[in-house]
Amino acid sequence: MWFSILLYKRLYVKLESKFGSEPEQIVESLTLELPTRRSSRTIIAPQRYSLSLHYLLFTDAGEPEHFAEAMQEDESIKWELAMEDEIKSVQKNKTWSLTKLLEGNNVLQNRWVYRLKEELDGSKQYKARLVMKGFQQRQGIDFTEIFSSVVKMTIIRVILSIVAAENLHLEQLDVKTAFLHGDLEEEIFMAQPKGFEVQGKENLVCKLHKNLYGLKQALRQWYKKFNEFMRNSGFHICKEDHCCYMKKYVNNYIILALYVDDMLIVGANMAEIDRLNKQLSENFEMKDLGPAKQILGMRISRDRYGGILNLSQENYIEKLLSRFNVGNAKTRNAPLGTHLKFSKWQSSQTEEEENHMSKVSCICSKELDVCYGLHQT
Amino acid sequence: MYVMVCTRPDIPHAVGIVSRFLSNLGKEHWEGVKWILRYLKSTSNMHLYFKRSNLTLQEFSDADLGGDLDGRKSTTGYIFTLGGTTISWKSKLQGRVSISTTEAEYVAISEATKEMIWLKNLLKELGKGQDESPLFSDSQSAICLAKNPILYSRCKHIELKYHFIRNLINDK
Repeated sequence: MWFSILLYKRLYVKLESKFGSEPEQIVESLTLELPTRRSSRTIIAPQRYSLSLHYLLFTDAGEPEHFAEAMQEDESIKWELAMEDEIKSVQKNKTWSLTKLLEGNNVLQNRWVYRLKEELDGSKQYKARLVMKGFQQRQGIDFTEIFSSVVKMTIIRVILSIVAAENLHLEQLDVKTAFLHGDLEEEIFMAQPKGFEVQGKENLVCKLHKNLYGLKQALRQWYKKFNEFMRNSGFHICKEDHCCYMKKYVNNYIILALYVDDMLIVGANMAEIDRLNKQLSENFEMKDLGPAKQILGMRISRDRYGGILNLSQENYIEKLLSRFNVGNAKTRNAPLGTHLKFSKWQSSQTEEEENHMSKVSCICSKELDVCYGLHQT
Repeated sequence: MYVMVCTRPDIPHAVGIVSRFLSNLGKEHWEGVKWILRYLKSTSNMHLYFKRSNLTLQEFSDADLGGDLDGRKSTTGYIFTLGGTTISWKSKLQGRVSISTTEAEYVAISEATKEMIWLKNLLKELGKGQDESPLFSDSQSAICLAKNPILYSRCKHIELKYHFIRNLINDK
């Protein structure tokens, strides 16, 4: 207290000497609130940092990255409709029920993934999918075992050579929403999806009964269900590869190879194949692709009269080459030159070199990833 | 890599050689990668060709001697054809250093045999059992070694696991 009085007095004396008369007013305002050195201009963030513009720059083809962004866009109504569609189909599947969260239970988060699909006629289709954040799962608690139903390449080639040798039918089927068919064994809790929280029950969580995309055990559960179905319909599993099924009839047979949700069906009798198709589509939501034209990025072209079947990856190779910009490069006639002898001592020795090469190989591997991704879609 | 796995049995050896140095790539290695890409460019329309046939399985195995300059290990290579079309292939650095070509080829044969057993079982299950599936090797000495259960002085050190091919030949 005494200090402030002292300060006041000093100021008073100083100001008196400076301004002469009537200094009291000024001193009062000075002691009550000292103005900060700040401009009086109202501050507006520049537009280039605004959220909507920011995202527009980063996402291509107008696909929003997450919920908040989808709601910001001009086409938010369409995205909302797409999300409602997804929620409806999930609810129809009785995927979850709302429960109270018990102590110690792990709650997994989810997110929306948006995709724009262009149809053949040029119209755009808005698709939204609810995806679990599977990386939050802990082994032994949220999942015990994983497995992916991928048939070996060799088996595909063996099957194709049988097809060509005996001139069999080769049909391809695709399971829609394959992962959603599996039942869950573990207790898994999920936060309510964004934008679709039930009013008045915001504190509840969803207890999952069925699979959702992104769960680690999704594939295994799907395979289990499919396996059970195949066993019931009289097929037996090959011991050599568990994704290959076979059923024998009196004088012919059907072979089925499963690659996650794609399947190849081979048989001599079309009626039997149709019957299997029908059975499958009664149990799962199927898409009949007719005679197989493309599997795993490999193009199948057939000449049934000539008994010839070609398996080519030309498109994929061309895509790969254009990624690496090999378009105008000189061509070679051998896979590797005989003068090229590689050894460890040719590896980068100095740090500078290493940095440079790591950049090159980084680009290379990234591009490869991209190619692989492209091929997968 | 994916191309190699699916439809191109002609590049795995080249890809395998270059892949050994992926952890620390040098300029020469990168040249090799570019070479492979250029080769792919000239041969992008090559494909696997399946035709009407009698579905016989044949195997071809080969090996080099000390092709890997660092560890001086040999490389196994084998190819399986079913009715004339290649269906399975592999090029792999052997896990051990071989002293002679005979030994390297012998190891390659036994590697190929493992795959052969699997393929034969598969074909049997698919109703295309094979009575006889010849395995070809380009080394007479390795073939003799597989057929005769004699202990030669120069082959004393060949590990037991590679001798299972003798067993298989006797079974036939």
